[in-house]
Amino acid sequence: MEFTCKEAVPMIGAYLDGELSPASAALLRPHLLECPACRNSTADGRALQRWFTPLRESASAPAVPSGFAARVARRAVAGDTGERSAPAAQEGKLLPFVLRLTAVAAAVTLMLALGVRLRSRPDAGSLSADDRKPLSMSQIQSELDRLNGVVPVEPAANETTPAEGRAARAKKRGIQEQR
Amino acid sequence: MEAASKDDLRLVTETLAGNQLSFQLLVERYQQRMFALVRHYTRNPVEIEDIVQDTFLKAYTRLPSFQQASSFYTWLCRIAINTALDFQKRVGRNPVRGVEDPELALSPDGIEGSRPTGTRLPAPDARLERDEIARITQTVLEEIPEIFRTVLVLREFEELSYQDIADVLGISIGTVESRLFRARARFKDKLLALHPEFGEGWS
Repeated sequence: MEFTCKEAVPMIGAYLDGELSPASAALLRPHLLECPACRNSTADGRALQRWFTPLRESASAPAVPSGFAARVARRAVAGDTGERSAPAAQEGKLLPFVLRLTAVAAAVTLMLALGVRLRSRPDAGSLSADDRKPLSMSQIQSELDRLNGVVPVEPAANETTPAEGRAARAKKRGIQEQR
Repeated sequence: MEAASKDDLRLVTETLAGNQLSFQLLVERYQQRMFALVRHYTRNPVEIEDIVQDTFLKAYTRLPSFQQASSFYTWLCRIAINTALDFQKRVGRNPVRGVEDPELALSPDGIEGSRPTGTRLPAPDARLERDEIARITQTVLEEIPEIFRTVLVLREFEELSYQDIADVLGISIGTVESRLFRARARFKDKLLALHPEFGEGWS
């Protein structure tokens, strides 16, 4: 089977890095001998490596401040988790301010919400919060009769005809209106 | 996956038992490499120190979850890179992430050096000072998308194996290979775009 440049080129980096499997390297090597374009790619890969060497060996790598490790270890043991931003100068001022503002806004919203909710609740008067027990039908009837100056009716009179019921209701309405 | 060294494991165990000095020794062992790694994400020395410090503080907090089958160093690299990228996002320097260039990946014509007539990449000119080469390389690295920069940094500067890079980035070895391939092509393109004079005479 023909081994093409399309297959060879992506392998060249791994080949130069010493990361190509022996089986793949056995395919690549004969191709490199035959193919000038892929030999050029290999040469380019080697050239690229030489661009990285000076920076890797550069003495300009940032110096570690003295006492850094002791300071970090002390903070770690003291419970500083590092789960925060490493704030830039501007952010250092802005972020706490935004957080405080958010907290104040949340508190005001909560108070307003509670206030609105309390105001929308019916007050004690309209709730008829009367702790007296509700009257039974017979008690109502006797109360009506007492007010109208008639003798109390028998409890059986609860079973009224529709006309009587209407009359009783009218009588009751009359009493309410008098009140 | 490179296993943690016995000495690292001993220090990790002692740290977990509450020994502050053992953790300090771990920090001392890796602080220089962490400073060198993080400088590829910001040039500001104060920011570098903050990011490295946060890396070690997070490492301390997460130490109980450290899988001792893996290398302490690659584990630390993963935390450092994520901390550096989070930092950049937080300060509004949104790194270009997740960029894959399908055209570059699929077209053999777009592949570095595969065209005999394409511009070849020469090694650095012998007349250039090493510091000058380092400066140019750093500038080019900063110009390429983060996804490619990170894989190049881990390979070319941290000299990690493909398996360790896969471990740090949480990707497969095949993805490491293809990402490195694209990253090198990007690096070459950007280098020649910024310094066309280096490509002359190689066509």
